[in-house]
Amino acid sequence: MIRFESISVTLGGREILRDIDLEIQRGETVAVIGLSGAGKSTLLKLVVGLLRPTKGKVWVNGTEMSGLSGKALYDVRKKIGLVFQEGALFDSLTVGENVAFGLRQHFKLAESEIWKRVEETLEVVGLAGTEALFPSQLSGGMRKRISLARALAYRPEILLFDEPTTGLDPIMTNIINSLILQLKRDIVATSIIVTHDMHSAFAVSDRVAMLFDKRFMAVGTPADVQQSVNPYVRQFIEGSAEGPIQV
Amino acid sequence: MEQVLSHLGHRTIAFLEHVGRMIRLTRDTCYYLGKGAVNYRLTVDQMAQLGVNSLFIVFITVAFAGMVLSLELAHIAIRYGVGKMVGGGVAIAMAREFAPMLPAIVVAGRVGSAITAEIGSMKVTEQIDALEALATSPVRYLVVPRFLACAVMIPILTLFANFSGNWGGYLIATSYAQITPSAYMDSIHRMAVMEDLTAGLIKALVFAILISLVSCHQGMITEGGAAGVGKSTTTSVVVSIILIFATNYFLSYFLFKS
Repeated sequence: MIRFESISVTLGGREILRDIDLEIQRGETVAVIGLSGAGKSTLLKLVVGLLRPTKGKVWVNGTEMSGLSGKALYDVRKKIGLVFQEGALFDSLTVGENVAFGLRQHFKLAESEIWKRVEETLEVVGLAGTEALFPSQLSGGMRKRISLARALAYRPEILLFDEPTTGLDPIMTNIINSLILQLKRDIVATSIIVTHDMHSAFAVSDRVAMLFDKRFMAVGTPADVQQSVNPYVRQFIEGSAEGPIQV
Repeated sequence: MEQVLSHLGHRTIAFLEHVGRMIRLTRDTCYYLGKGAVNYRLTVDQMAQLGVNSLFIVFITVAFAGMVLSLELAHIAIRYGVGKMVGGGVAIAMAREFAPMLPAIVVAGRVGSAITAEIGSMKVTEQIDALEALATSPVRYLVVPRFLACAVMIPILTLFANFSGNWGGYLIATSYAQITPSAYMDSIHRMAVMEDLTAGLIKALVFAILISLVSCHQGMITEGGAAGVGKSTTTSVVVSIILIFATNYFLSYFLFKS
């Protein structure tokens, strides 16, 4: 379970989030939508403890994150898988070593067991046999899937996706969406998906939360949000240049 | 006036933040070293890159430094009739100053820049955040191996530099300045002492600590894409070289006071 409690974040003198409240239940998938720079990725960084809120508390599986440091913080992070927007794969390591990274660092497993898990995870993301490649040899979609495999390898309880389909072609977008849905069924992880892609947001989530002007403007089921009469929400989900949101 | 004071204030705060982050990085590095949390495979990789791959350039630069030192000393020494002191003079200057300084400068330029560029690239492509998200300390994974590699390899390069510098000096003194090999070697034995070499190695260790921490720190604070990586790399080399020269003065003052 993840809970944002009266969260405010100010970075470099600029207020990003103001008094945010949101609770995500165990096994639930929430898609966070909003304009670029609205603070969507900031929410993910708060969950992992990469950022600390200026005010308020973030709870992850009953542990308050902002007071944690050192081993206690790392213990919580071991239960979280974060899929980065650009993959953030380690350039100097092969695909196999990237996927094995978390397992090697935190689990006392035999090498044979680690490589078995790597192969299984790569198969889940549809990239079996790519162990020996380097990140520079992969396409954008492959990088995202390897990033997902790296996050999945140590079987996290929470999965965070930072724009998993941005910049991908429609076929690859659907592959990633299907993968997220499949994971939702198979590992029942609590997930937050930050996305600009309305189709993905409505297809894979249990609830959609729209960030605008430092707060959640709308939170509801995909159907609720799609039928919203709020002019800001309507303009955003329809992608219209005309409306109250001035960019 | 108000603007000037405000600017000064901001610069002072930025400088103090910088110093604070460096102290924290040093503390964290010492913490992981103290715990024995060292990735030996990465450390050996770094040692190879840093030390073995720097051997040739260190050999060449210090050998030429030894040759020019010998040439200048021989000119003066022969003029004043103390040609037999050239070997000792070269050996002392090498052990105390040239052998620690020159490899440190070569490493700061060649390896320090590479460390900053690598860690800086990792920072701007979110790989450092990925390490954190994978519950792995970037200090433990990235800084400790580079710190250890520098601390071991720069003193070894210094020993090697002593050899190549003295070899260069010997070559010029015996061929160009007509000083006999036995006179050259004899003056080394008479004038140079073990403490000269030890002091040089202490200096090399201090330079190693400075280079590794400055390079890693600059990498860690890199922002702003490729341009930011370039800027950080330049800053890293400039700061390291300035610190090497400044620290060398103070170390010489304290180590050779008597």
